[in-house]
Amino acid sequence: MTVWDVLQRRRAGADWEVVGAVKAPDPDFAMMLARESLFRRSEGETYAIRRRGTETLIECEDTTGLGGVIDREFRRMDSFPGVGGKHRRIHEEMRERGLVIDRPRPPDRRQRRSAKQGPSGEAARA
Amino acid sequence: MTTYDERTAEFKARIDAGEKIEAGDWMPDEYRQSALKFIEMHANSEVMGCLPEREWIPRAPSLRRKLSLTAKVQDEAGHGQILYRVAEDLGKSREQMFDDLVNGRTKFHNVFHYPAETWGDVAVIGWLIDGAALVTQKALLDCSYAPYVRAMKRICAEESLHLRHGEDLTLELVSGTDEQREMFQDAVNRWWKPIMHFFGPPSKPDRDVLLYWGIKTRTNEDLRQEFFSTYVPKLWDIGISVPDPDLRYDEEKGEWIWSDPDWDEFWQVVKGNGPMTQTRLFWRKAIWDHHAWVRETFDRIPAAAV
Repeated sequence: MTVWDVLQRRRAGADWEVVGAVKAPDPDFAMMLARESLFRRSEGETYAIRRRGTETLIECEDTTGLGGVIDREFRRMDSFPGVGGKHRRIHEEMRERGLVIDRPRPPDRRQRRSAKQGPSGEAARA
Repeated sequence: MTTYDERTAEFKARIDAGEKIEAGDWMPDEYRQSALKFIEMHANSEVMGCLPEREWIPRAPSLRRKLSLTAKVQDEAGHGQILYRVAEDLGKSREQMFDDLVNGRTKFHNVFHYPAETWGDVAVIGWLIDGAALVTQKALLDCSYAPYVRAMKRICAEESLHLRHGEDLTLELVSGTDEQREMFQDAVNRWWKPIMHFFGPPSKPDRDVLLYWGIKTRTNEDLRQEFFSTYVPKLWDIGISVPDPDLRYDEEKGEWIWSDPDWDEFWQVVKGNGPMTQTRLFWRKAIWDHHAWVRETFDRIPAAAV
């Protein structure tokens, strides 16, 4: 079966960028498989396939619904709004109930990151 | 004329200089085999990882949770598709990889050999197992094999979404009734050992062939420490304990101290003797055999003339 490289164009006028490959018997199947496996979340404004080893791009003719239309709310971060805030709120509730486990812990991520950086702000190299 | 050893040395120098290797580039056999084995196991784990969660789709407590879990399971199957394609370019067909998986000749990740007994397990899988996976997968964004890096960019983005799904489930359970909190705590207690096994035993970096070739970029222990730092404080914040009496953060050393889990159990699972290994492989094989006609039909379609 033929290997098709899959390219995406993130914005109008942007360069094509290889994002993966699919294996399919013909361009129609390849287009469908590429859309299902690589473009369920509005990854670009359009996409194309190219038979491996050739130069000819076959662009997607109909980008309607690219990114999923049926259950899209469960495919994006905005389907779980305020999880960080909810975590903080429940942390406070648990503190009031005396359930929080208070033991030594490492600096938070921001502090860990700055600890890895030298005085000049450049990341330390091992 | 350049010898094989000289080409290999040049190849290693490219990796050490931070260059990425493309599928069509020359590569030493050892690199090809190591990358193939690693990516194949990753692909196997994605498709086997669908099974424990799939069991809960019909039993999800609401339509919203059902849709969310269904979307996640579809993503995991999609990751398997993407990764098998990456592995195929290293010289083994998808059919052979799947045949080896369902017949127990290749491996899948240890955590998917365990049962998902309650809805609390679904929360643990979505938050802590996917959290552990995300820690290891983010490290693979620096991998030396470019097609794998491209796949990982997409997979990490989707895993971040799964993490939200899992954390949201967790928060709902821990802030619910006492029974719901207990259900989640019980799931954490049962899954903690498999999560520790997830990162593998502490290894010697100078003997790790995957680190040598830049396929992996961080040690097992380094990744486990990051997991502790990211998730243990979050569990403590919501009043959930971890079933390791020795687990503590040593402020002087700047590292977590933890007790060795039962590594004999880990090796048993790796050999395919986990509590759910045979059941899960049976299902995968049944589905694989049942859909053989689809593959046979596709094989009869002549290659396109483009």
